[in-house]
Amino acid sequence: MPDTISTAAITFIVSQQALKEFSQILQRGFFIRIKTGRPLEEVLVEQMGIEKRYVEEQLSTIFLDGQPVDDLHTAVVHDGSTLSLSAAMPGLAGASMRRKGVYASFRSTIAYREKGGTDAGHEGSIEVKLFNLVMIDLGPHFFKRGIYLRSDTLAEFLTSMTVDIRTGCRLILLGNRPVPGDAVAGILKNMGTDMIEVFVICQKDVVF
Amino acid sequence: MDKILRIDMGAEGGPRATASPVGAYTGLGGRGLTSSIVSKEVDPLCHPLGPGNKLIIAPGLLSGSIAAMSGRISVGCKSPLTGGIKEANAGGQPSQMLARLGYTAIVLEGKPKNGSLYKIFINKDGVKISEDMSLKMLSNYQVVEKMKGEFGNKIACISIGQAGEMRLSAASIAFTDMELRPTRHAGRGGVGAVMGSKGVKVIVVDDTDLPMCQPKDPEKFRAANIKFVEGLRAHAVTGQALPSYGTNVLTNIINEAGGYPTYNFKQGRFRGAAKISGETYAELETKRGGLATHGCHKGCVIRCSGIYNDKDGHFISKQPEYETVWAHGGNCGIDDPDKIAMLDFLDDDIGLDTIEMGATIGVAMDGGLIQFGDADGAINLIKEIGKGTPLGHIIGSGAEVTGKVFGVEKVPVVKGQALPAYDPRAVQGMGVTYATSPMGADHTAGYAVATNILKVGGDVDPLKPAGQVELSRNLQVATAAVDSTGMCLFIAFAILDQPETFQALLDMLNAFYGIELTAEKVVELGKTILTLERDFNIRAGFTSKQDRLPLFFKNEPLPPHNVTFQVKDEELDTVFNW
Ligand code: SF4
Repeated sequence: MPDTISTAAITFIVSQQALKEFSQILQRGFFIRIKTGRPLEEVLVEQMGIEKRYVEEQLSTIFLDGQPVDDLHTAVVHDGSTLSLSAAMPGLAGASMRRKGVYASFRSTIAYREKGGTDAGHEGSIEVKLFNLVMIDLGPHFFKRGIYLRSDTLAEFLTSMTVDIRTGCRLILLGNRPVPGDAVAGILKNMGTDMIEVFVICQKDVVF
Repeated sequence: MDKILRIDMGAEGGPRATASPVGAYTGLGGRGLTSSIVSKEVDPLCHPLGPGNKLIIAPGLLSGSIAAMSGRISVGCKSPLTGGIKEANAGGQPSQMLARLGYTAIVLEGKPKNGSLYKIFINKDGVKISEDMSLKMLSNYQVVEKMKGEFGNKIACISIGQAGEMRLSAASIAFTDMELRPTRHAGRGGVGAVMGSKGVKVIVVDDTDLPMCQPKDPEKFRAANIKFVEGLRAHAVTGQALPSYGTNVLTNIINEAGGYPTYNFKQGRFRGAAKISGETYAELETKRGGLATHGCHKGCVIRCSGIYNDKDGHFISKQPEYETVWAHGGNCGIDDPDKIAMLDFLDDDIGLDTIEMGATIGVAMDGGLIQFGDADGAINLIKEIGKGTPLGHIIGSGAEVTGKVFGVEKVPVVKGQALPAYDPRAVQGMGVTYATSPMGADHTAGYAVATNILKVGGDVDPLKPAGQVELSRNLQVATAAVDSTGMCLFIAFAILDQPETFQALLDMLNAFYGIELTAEKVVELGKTILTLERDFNIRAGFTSKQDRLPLFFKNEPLPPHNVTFQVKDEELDTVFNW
């Protein structure tokens, strides 16, 4: 995560459809803060709050720093790591990426091997990418918790979306201050590469 | 399905059709049948575009019945691209219809002496072959429109575009889908060029008034089909990932793994991957009034396809597959989903293999013909093929020819056929299959089938690198067997993980034909087919030297993991030791 973290947070209160559209940004990567130097399973379940059963049954394809992971207990998440989460994938290549899958030897030269580190228990940040069904399933969870994005990345994403993203936003708050939908991209662009904390909440979960 | 329709296109007095009993080929379908006929009846030394080659079009064993996923169709011949045996398969409606018409296969033989162009109409009353020069140089969409005008909407078409007529080595054969669009292609190996050399522009099939093909034991068959469908729906890949996103769900995954060949196989990651991922396409399809979940033929329950519209809601193409999006996308540095869909449409329309075309354009970009990322330039190159210009002839002849013409060293082909969308330096086991498959570099020849259930060659430790050669062998054997059933290969996952679903497939085949097929017999069938295919290639002049990847995979490390292909030549030579 770049050093410049804006103190600002932005909250989008959105329709269900818009929430689904927002989820698309999660495949490009976002940042969260965690205690690093901890085993992957602990990071997923205890720190990220993903149900253990979901991890076991649905997260069958996991990459740490672009390397397919087989063992969640021995893989350790370090400061600055990139963690990507996916459901089971088709094709021989897809199958070979699965955790401890029958075809794991097909990609043995790129498989995750723990390199060690000195950051056990330190506060740090990692990049997370959510793909396919995991993006839909876990998107609302991460948006409610809050994620960090570069302001210009978020601005670019908002402008690339069709109008429904803005008509789908019931309310946008920069800090506590409401911002009009058509001004938000411009404001974010001016913030440059600063990180901003982003919350996206479905309007049905909010009492106005 | 009890007869083979043979059409001698070079017969004295004009093409002549004869239907004969299946005879020695009884019990074979799909790839099993096409490869058996090629191996037995085609001289391996014949010219692929000459009268000695045969083009075989064979539905699957369960096509025409109510069996789910049974509508794939195989096309076999000696390939003008590889010079070896070829089987390419496709979805679409013709398979079901041909089966209901009672045909186990159509075999096009000989060659017209006068360069005439023919259309063939097949219905319950027989076969009508007529010369039709008005079809000359029509695209696939145009020829199908013309056939609709002539024969109505209840038909299905098997056709070639301009590329097939020009007998270009990257030419495909198109099969119409449920909307009567020529979107499903037997793409690989230049099978369209062989159809063009036979002077056949289109085969129109009409199964009006014909019933479904009936199993020998209807009750058992019905029960097995229900179990089979339940298995497909219950599995995470066939019940969720494929229906939601199609095969392009792989873009993010292979990219993340650093195995996504980018800029003509120079690196394993593409910055624009998320912009062209299956997730992005599915969202655009839904938003623009297309479809994110759609079957390529009636009876498909996985429905990995879709319909892709432009921003104004007009049809551009069917949902492009992963291999297409990679070939025209990351491999060429293009990250615009609309432009990639347009390239997919043009390939379908002109009748071209999307993998070969993407790889070829990547090579042409490497040779400086256009810049990486130039989407409009890529579109123009494909259009050149449709126009039949000299440049179009070069591009339409595939990556190997184009590499030679533009003096490019890095040409990703095996046996003359372009590599698909997985870099073998990152997924080494895939490289074993690319190198050794009798088909040339082919991702489906080893597309993860039930090796663990079939116990082909015993259990292999998944985490031991040494198992790759053995696994590739097992996969190729099992794939050859499943290809012969004519079922869509995507059933592989439910079968792989759920023994009861595999058993349901065997039960369906047994109930349909009144036979006692066992897992062991399926393995034997797979081995027999591979042996036939390899034997054909050896007789055509192939040696172990052709079972190799291009040298740069061994010498040039692939970022970001900086790995090279490490499987030794001696190991590759043991793949077919059984
Ligand atoms: S799963 Fe896909 S390729 Fe297979 S039959 Fe269905 S739509 Fe066609």
